[in-house]
Amino acid sequence: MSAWLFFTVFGLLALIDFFVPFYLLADLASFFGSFLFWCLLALTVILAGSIYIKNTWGRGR
Amino acid sequence: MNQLYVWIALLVWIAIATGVAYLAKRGLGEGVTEYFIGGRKLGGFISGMTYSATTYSAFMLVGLVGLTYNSGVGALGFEMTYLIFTVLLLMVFAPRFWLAGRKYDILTPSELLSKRYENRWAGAVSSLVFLVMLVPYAAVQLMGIGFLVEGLTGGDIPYMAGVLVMAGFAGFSAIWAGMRSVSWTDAFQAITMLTTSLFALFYLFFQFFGSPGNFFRTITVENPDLLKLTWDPKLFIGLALPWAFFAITNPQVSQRMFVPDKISSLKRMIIYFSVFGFVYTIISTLFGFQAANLLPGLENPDKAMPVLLTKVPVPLGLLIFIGIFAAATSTLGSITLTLSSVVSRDLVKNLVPELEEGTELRSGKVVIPLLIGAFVLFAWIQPGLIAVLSSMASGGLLVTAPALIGAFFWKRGSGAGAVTSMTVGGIATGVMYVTNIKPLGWWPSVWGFLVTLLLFIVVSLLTNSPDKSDEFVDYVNEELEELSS
Repeated sequence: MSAWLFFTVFGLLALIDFFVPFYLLADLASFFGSFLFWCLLALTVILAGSIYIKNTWGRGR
Repeated sequence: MNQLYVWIALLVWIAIATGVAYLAKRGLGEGVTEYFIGGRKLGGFISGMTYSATTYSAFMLVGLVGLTYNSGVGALGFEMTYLIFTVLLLMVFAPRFWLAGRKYDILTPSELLSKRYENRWAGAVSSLVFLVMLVPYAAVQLMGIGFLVEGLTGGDIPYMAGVLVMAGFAGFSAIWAGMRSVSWTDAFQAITMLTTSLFALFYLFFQFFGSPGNFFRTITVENPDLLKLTWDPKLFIGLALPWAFFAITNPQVSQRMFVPDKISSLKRMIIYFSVFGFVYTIISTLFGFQAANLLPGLENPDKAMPVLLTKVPVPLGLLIFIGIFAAATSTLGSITLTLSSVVSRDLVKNLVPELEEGTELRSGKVVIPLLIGAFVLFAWIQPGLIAVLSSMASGGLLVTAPALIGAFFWKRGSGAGAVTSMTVGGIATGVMYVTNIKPLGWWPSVWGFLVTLLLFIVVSLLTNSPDKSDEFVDYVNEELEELSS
């Protein structure tokens, strides 16, 4: 992953991770609010990360 | 709970863990690389489990449970934020650390800074930052166990007895066979942590709420405020920012990027850790919601878990207790071993380069009891709430992030930039935490990070970059391309 891509992904994730729960879901008194959002975001990153490392570095060894 | 049961459970668990450490010790070879990072020969499963057990500590089932009990879903967000950015950082930095470690025979993150910036003070200064900031973090592990045994036995086992037993075992496992015994016992501890907590969580679901579904409905109806995000955004950023960089700034975990035997093991380490972290985070926060519903009105949120344990049958309470003890001990053992390697390699050997390998290794072993003594002293003083202390430690360690990221991504980064940023940033962050100064309401970690980043960039631009910085960065990038082809 290039420096440019890394910093872009890092920044976007930071914005989503913070702004969606704090400014869109904050008042939702349900497990389907911030709780579910953060769980799904983490799961997405884990799945995407697993696919990324399987398909990029180490593919040749 | 009868203190006798607790002592028996502890002795049984310590006996099993010692047996695991003994098996690991049989394969121990000679030299500092073997002792401190297992000779770079650990497989994917052991690497993943030692990474998990080192990362996840007593903070999870004591501190995070307390934080959720007290402030609800924000605690989950804080911890998931850590996990999200750790996975991202591992994807990017794990192969880079791993490649550089092999090429330049690097044992510690501080040594990586020394060699990349061709400046031994970069290693020495980062070592001091690690030492100063990890002492409170290590002490937090001891405090967690101290509170736990005291709460569990109604004070029959005093706080300091729990602290001393745990400190003794962690020190013993670190000094006995180095990384091999620590990583093997970590694997045993990680499995213990996950299985016992999962079992207990479901027991509480069915015993007190009827079913998992009823639990979620009950919390929604009876504790709705805990599901609203009531955290001050500045508090969230102040606590989460240092943890977002935890994977590279905490040497006890970043050192683990050097240990897998091959690149496929490194991949498995990341995937196993990610799954472990996701499950364990959800379990820990759900305990917090359970405690908030079952035990309202506790004065000290850090005691939510110990009190919750008194509500379950003795065998189950002991199982969870052992799971927490395992979590805390594995983190403490790893911190101890990493700091001993940092002292021997980056302070002693760095400043006395002609030192023989045997002497370097002995100096590391001598440091272990001294470190344990410092941790115990800090735990005895009990300086504050567990969650805040943990974050303060990570806030201080955050000052190493610009230099570490720049090591791989910015050829222009210089040794003077690294040393200046860590020194001034470290002092500024420490002063703000100690004096509790929060300019404009932002936490010290935020200001410390900005100061450090700015200094690293400005001083690097004003000074010469190392002669071989191109070689270092190009080597890693070329090898990464080759690994991907």
